[in-house]
Amino acid sequence: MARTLREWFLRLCGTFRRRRSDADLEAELRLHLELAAEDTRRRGEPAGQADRAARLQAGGVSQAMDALRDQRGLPWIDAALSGAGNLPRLVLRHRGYFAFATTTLALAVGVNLLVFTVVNALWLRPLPFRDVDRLVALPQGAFATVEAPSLKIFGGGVAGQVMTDDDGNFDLQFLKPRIRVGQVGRDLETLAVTVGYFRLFGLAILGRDFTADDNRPGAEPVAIISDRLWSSGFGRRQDLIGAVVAAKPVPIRVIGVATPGFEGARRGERADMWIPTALLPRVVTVKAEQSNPLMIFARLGPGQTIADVNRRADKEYATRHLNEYLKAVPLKDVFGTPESRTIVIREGHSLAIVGGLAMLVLLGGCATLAALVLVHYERRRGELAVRLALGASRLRLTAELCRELLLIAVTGTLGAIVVATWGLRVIPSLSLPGGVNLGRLDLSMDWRVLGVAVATTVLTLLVAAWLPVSRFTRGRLARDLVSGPSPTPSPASQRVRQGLLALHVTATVVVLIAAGLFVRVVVHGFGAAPGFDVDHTLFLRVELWSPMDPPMANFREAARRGADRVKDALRSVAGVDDVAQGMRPISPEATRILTRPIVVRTEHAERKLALGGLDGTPNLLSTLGVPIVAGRALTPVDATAQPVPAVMTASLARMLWPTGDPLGQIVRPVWRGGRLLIVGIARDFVYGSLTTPAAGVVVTPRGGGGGIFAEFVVRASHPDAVVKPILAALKASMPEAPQATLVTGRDVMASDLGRQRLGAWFFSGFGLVALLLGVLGVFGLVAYLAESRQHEFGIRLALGATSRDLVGQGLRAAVIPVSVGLAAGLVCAAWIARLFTSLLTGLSALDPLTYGAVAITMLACAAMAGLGGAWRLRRMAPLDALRTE
Amino acid sequence: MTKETAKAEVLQGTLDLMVLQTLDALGPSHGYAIAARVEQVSKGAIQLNMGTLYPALMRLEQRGLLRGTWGISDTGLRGSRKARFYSLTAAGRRELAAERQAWDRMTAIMQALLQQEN
Repeated sequence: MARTLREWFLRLCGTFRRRRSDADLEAELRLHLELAAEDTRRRGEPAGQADRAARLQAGGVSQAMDALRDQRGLPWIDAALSGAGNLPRLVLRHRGYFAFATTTLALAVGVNLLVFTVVNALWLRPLPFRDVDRLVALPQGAFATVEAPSLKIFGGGVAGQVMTDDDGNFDLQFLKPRIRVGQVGRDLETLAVTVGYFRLFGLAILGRDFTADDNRPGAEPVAIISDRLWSSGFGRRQDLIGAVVAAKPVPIRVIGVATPGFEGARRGERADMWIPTALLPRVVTVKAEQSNPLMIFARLGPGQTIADVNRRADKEYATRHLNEYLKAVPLKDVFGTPESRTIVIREGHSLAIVGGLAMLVLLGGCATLAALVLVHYERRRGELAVRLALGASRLRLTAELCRELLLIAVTGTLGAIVVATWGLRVIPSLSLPGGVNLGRLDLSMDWRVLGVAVATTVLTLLVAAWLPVSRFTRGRLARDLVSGPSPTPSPASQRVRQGLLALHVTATVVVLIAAGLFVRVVVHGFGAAPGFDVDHTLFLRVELWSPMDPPMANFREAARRGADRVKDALRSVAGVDDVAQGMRPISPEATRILTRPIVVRTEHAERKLALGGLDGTPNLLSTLGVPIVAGRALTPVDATAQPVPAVMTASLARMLWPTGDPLGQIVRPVWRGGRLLIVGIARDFVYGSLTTPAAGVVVTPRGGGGGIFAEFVVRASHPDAVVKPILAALKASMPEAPQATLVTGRDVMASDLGRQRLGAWFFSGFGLVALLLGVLGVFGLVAYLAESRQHEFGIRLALGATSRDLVGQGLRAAVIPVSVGLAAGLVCAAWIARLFTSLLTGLSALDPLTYGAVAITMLACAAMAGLGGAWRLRRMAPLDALRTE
Repeated sequence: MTKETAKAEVLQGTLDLMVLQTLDALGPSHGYAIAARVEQVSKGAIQLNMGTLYPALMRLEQRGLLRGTWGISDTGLRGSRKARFYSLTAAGRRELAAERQAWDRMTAIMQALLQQEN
């Protein structure tokens, strides 16, 4: 066995580095023949006959040489490599073809690789938990009080993790539980968790898990650290477990090390350390753990499904609003960082749409590549036929084709990896709209990504090369040689090429239209007037006191006093034009309220509407920049009047009183309990979300607030300039306020259009590459088509065709297949756009501007490419054109 | 396995044994000397042509059973000239001993079988 292996190893080596040259082998054989002939002569044979007899007995030198060469190396590798030396010459001769093919492959595969790397990091990479399919998250971000109700619902147990920020915006005292550890010398990303956290995920701890004693107020500060920190910060020291490490603000005893690979329950978390929730107040400047939003994770009990628990939550907690917090989603579908709320990343068909569009880019690339390979070999048909006639085997020609394709594959794959690597360097610096910070993801290329890269390249080349290879049958080439290779491509070949060009255009058009629609939605969303002045407004939410402060005797009075202090602080800031108290019209909370229709009664009718209600100070609408179109604005006197005076938006008024005058009418929305007297009609504005706005809004002057949180609208000429002064003024005026969040009108819009912006971001990337490939493809293919018909054009010119005829021919050659592809692409895009109609707010899935712009772009590219090709031919003398073959 | 391939394998094994045995008997020799010796011993029954002999020599060399070196041959009518001499390595000698034993055993078995049939 060992000897056979040695033989094969030496033969493999001999394939690449010959230990014995051909001359060496031949010398040995020649000596054999000479000695045999001398022996025969010695036996008395005449010289000539002796040589012949020796050759007959010993065999031919060339046959023996062939056998020796086969034994020296591995013949099949040798055959594949022989001729590789010609490749550089071939590449130089057909440099345009190789450059174009390689670029096309690199872009098409690179984009897919990039998308797959992100998809892999977001969705496919397995979470390191036991039985991960039974783990769920409650992504709304609830308060600690939810933990107990959750326990009733989830049969497999629950655990909590403190969410560090509810909104991810400007906070007075931004909650960042980071611990500075002396030895490591850096801030550690720390998660505060409940005691059952690690047990819930079925994770083993090296050392020990948290116990109830660890989570008592005043208990010794303990922590469990990540395997990464143990390795990078402490050199995997065994004595660290159980030891106290010097840390700021408090020394901490490390009681355990988490399972390797575990750095947080949600994708996007990269925790170094976990501490019990009771320790949190000693680490960050919060007053009590109860004031912090708690993220709940749960394990489904035996036989439970997510639908079951959500139904049960709806049933049991329908009246307590807890059910809104108890909406469970699979844990593997959520993304979150300590600074952002949880985002459910697997929404609807997003994976299918993104993957489908990436495949379309690949399909476009395949079509271009197939057409290129086809045209390339069509042009070399004559050369291949001659070589076949001279004795080259079909196998040898196929091997040559394979070598060329392999070269394109290798350089294309390298190019694709360069494209993807460059993309992966850029991506982490981008924060996707909606809070998905790609820098938090592990975007490394694992075996899955590399496997997909190789498979995609091979698939692309197989698809692209199948057609050309199958056309080069021996019979066909032999016929070419007999009849003389045709100088112009056959009609069938032209049809195939035009078909491929049309296929490429179809794929490109679909991707471009998808990208265009999302970009238009975002532009439209930002351009669409939400009805209030987003460019000059800011929205502030302040926690007026800590929930752990002693109970107040007069709760409402305390809220009013607190709100007045905030208003005074805001008014003191230079650049602030007006301040009103009241909730912001566009917010997730407002959208949630709209999910329950309200019964509205008027004198003559009763209707169920998705009605928005804004309660605030009388100047709320003027601060928002919403004008009164009929009647009067609210005044301070209205705050105490009965029935409560209210202003209604115009379209709601038209809906409730289609013919009569709404002013002076009484309306009774059930959630107000009392009667509202309509005193004014305001211009329509959006309440809830731009994507799902309320049917109308009723504004009342009671002042809003009255609870721990107060919301304010600030009007300023330059909102961005007053953000920092406002936060500073608040901190100075209310140092005890635990939390404050301030956002500009533009921020509100951006957040509301998050999903659409995410779509636009993704699809614009695809669209850009598809357009680049599309333009390259159309230009390249048309130029090739025109070039391959030079002979035909030469004859036409010689027969007296005018340059106008040739230009017309060139244009037709380009525009006809592109038009066919365009028509098919428009139909496909219209069908595919239906899949994401719900995301196309305010825009039709058949938006004429998008479809028109894409159609014009593609036709313009085709016309320019056709004209460019024809222009070159027009300048050519007929004889030159004929001589090119 | 077909009849032809089974036969070919037996022949290939026999050829290796013949070459090893000849080199053991003659000492370092070139290819023609090996072929001539086999022909002489078999009384002309086995004539090894170059296409069979030299690949076998190369195979045995690749397996580490032979060592090939260029030297000067003084045989022939034209006096001394360059020839490639093959000699047994230690592994080659061990292989020969093992193969010879196996061959003896096999022939004994075959003989016993054939006599029993008769």
